[in-house]
Amino acid sequence: MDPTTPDRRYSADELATLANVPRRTLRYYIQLGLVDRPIGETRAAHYTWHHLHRLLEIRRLTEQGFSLERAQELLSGQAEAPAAAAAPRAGSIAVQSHIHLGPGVELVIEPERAGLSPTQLRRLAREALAAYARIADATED
Amino acid sequence: MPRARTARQKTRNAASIAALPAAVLKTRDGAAVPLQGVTATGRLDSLLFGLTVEQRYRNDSERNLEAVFTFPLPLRAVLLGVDLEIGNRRLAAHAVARVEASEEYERAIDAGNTAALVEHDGNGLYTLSLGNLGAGEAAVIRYRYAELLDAHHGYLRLTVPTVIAPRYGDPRDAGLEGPTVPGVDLLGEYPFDIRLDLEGLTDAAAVRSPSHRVTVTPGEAGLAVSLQRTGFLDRDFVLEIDQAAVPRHALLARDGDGYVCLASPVLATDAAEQRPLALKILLDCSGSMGGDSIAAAKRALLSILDHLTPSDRLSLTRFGSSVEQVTEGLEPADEHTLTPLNSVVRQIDADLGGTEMEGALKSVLALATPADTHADVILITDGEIYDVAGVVAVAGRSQHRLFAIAIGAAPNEALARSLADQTGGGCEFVGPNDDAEATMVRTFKRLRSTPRTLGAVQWPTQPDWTAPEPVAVFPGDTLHLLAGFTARPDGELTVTVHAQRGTAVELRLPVATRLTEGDVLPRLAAARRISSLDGAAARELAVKYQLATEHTSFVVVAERADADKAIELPATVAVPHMLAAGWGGSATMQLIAARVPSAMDASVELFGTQDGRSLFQAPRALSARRASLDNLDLSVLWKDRPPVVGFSFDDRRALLEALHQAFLRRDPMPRDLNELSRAFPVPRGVLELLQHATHECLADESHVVAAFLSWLGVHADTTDFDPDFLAMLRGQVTGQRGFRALRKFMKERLAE
Repeated sequence: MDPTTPDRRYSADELATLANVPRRTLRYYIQLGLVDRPIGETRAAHYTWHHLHRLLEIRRLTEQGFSLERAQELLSGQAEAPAAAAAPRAGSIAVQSHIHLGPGVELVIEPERAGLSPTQLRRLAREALAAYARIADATED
Repeated sequence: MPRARTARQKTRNAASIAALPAAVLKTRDGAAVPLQGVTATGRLDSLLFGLTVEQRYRNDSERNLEAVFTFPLPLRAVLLGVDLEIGNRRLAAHAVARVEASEEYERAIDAGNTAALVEHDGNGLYTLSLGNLGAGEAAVIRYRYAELLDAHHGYLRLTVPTVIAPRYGDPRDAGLEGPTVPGVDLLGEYPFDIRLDLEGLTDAAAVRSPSHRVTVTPGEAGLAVSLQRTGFLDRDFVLEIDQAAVPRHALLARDGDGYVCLASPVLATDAAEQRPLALKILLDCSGSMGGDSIAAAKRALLSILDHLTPSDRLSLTRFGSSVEQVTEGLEPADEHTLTPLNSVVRQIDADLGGTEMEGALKSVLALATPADTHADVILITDGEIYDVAGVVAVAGRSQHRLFAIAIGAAPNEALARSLADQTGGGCEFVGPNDDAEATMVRTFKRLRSTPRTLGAVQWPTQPDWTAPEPVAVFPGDTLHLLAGFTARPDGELTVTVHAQRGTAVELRLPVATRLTEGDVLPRLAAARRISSLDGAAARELAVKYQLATEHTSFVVVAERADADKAIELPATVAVPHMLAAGWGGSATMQLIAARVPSAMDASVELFGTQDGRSLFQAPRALSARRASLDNLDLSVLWKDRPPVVGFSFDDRRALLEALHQAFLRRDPMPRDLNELSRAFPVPRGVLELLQHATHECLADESHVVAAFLSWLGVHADTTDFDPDFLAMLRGQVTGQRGFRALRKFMKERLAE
């Protein structure tokens, strides 16, 4: 049977071989949620064409240099154009708030990207200030 | 504040700390990290170092786990064995061909058994996979390695790497992918403890650790070294020994039916040589060099400038994502070049983003060299890149000798050492608390000496095989020569070393009459032989001698009872590393030997400016893969200031009195920190502060001591001491340049 037939079942071994990834990496991707868990109970568990397709997609993206986090975002449709979020464009402007916690210690918030409500922001600042005060006052072990 | 409210506040603080996610270390997908801590015990016998390391794991989650941990060993270390301890069983792993080992491991995981696999990824990196660790279960992985160290003029530096700092580039260049890519967790804390026996050494003062506070005490057969308090897996453990014992015999051990012989002759030093140099200096200014590292690099660089004479030539290039030629090419090392360069170097910062080392090296190699000269390259870097092989290949083809100065608390030793080995150069290490000057003195001795090559090695009888020999040898170096024999060799071996002008030196060493016990020597020898073999032959030898190499791995399976077999697929957890101390300027290690990194999420991206300076070095023309941690410049945010040190009236008086007595006896005044601390009562905190002054003010120790004496003179009670004495103290600094910063330092940091 053609190994790419949609209803073909694959063992973990077959899947790993076809996608050319170690089985340990396959388990890692499953743990990260990048690849769905296999179908069925442990001993009889199997994978489908969808799993294979997904693995190949991940391989393609990582080979292009994307991190696994980024691959996950791209594959789940959370992100759009691939290179857009990698770095701010030259000339782009970001407005940020600098919350001074103490000498040489600042909390920098970029409101649009942070997406915090004013109440959340106040809470964050309050807790960060308290944390700083507590840590700065404590003596080094 | 009313009492009741304080109490309430405390309760609330306690509650919120408990609720913090940092209370249990978790990976980014929420799985608990099973690594609990690491303990190492080892023994140094002459130049042979052996270490046993215990990694303790516990699965605190509710699920069946597989832990994957990529960890460093010294480049020259030979992994001799791996044990798995689970329940009350202790099982030894065996070394088999890499694919076979991996299949055996996978079969065990499928069958619901517990298994451990240790693979050699190359360049000093190894990956442990520990699978089917059930909920609530604990296991210990114990591995042991041996390493032949070099002594140089009796100086020996022993390093136990514990952490892989974030590296630049594509992990696949280092053979890593998926869970084997070393991650970093800023909240991670793994305790680390180490205990070493130094055989045959007696002088505790000749042993010190620039990385940890250690206690050195007389032990059973020499000295025992232990940590004063538990450390963390966030920096290399480094031990420096001044009078290392070098064997006076070639060691002899049984190797199966035959014998193996290790000869470590020392090449004597001639009178100081003064060959003029053409130095192409390449300085890594990528983001990861921020903070302590760039400060150490600058100390090293200033020291280099100090060692040059007008008949030398130099060029200076710095690099990150881009390459910047500071000088126009090789320029004469005269005052016209050095004076402006000194001030330029003091201004340099780690502000060039990524670490495009290969391109930078190529552009330095391409700098024009005058006809009758051989140029050498000095590369100052933390070496935090994945593509070691690519850079080493470029250097190997270059006809230049490379001298690598590896910087930082956890530099990439494999890069520095491979560059040196491949090009007949050298490598030295400068940690945050290391003496850059001593390092440069050693480097310049090598640079200025006439190149030597190893000639014939006459063993007492014809050997069956010999291990690959070093490409270049330098005066003061220890050469390690290994050979195998069918019949027991007896007598003396002779090594001929040629200098370039046709002169030759013969080194002689008798073969020991007593046999060295154990299987370490034959296995070390096998590892050396494997390095020059390919494919099947290498694999065969590795299996025969049970070694983990690029062709073989260690695997061990603990069968579980039927009722106890794992049923579900294990959740694979990549064990993250702690952030290497001081990495990218994340915190300073100077003075403070056991600081943990600041808690901050590494994935956070910082943009914008502070005082007009970019916090985030935006990657220019870099692909997505390059936009790594390396581009973050965090030094501005995290740099600590060293504390003010108290120096009580009584302590000052005691010191002044001791100095006064010395003055009256016409003894010389102390010129460096060593002399000061040995002969005079200086509180430890003050000594550390003075050490710090050398870093912060980029000053010589002698200048720091002079400034300190002057400070004492100014603050002394005039009625108690001889006016000539006080005048002498105060006059220590007059007429010398560069003391303003030191005076300010003393004024600000020493509290009366």
